[in-house]
Amino acid sequence: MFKSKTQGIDELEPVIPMSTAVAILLATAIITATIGLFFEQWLPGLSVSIFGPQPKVYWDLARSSAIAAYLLLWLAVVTGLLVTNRMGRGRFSVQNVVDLHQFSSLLGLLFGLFHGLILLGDKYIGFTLVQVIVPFTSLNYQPLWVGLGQLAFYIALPVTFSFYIRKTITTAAWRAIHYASFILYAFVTVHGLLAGSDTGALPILLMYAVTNAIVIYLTVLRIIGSPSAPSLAK
Amino acid sequence: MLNRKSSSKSTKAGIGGIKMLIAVSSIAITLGGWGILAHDQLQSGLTTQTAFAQSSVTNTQQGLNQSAASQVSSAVRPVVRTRSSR
Repeated sequence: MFKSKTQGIDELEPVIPMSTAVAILLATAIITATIGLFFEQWLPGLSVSIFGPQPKVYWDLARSSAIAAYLLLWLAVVTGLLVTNRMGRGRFSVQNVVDLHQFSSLLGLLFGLFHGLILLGDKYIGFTLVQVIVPFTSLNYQPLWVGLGQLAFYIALPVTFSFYIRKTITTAAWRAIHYASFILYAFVTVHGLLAGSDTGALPILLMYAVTNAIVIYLTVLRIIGSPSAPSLAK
Repeated sequence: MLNRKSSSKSTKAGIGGIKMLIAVSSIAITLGGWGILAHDQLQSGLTTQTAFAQSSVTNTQQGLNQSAASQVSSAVRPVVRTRSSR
């Protein structure tokens, strides 16, 4: 009886798996280090940004969330290309890469939504709800390039939510919807480069260069190396 | 079978960890970016204010110098006139 009890304990799986525990530690490290290193330095600026005579918090959050949304969209495109290139099948199964692909798509959409709607608080340019929702109506600020970003959001909606109706649509429809993600990525890149107020900064330019180079490389591989249908589309 | 099941479970947990890191990093980019932008704006605002204050001080100094010079010259002239009139 005693032996069987010991065996039972030995067979127990850890409540929190090792990789999740490491991820929790890393996430805590990122947050705590950021607070410890920079918060005191940033605090006066943050205070002025919120409570100053001309609060820039909405504009600044729109700028920074745009970078996060762009990187999430890039991750979604890259994981999507990895699945179709059959490169993402080393350590992780196709299902896991698809899982990351869906997660980054949905999170990217959320950050994109935040990026657009937070601008309603900005009083300097003074976006109205209609200007935020309807493409090419942002007459106060770069209507064409802002409009491309708005269109990209509307293209992202069916692409992202097509995961939920995958079983009810044909493979051809699924592929057609997913091919639209290339247009979406191109629109977002042009929107970021030409409407973004941080494009002149070297780190941002480098980000666009590296991310686009990776997408172009994986797309070329996809075109020349893997013409057959992806396993997901069976 | 058991090993495969356990390995699949651990990979799933690994993906869960990666997802959490992606979400935390996205929030960190958004809030950190805001912090950097706000800090830079405050610094550039302070630099502008300092430059404005310095130029104001310089202008005031120049104005005072000119005013003092003109007062001295206007005070000296009558003396010169008085002497020349003698």
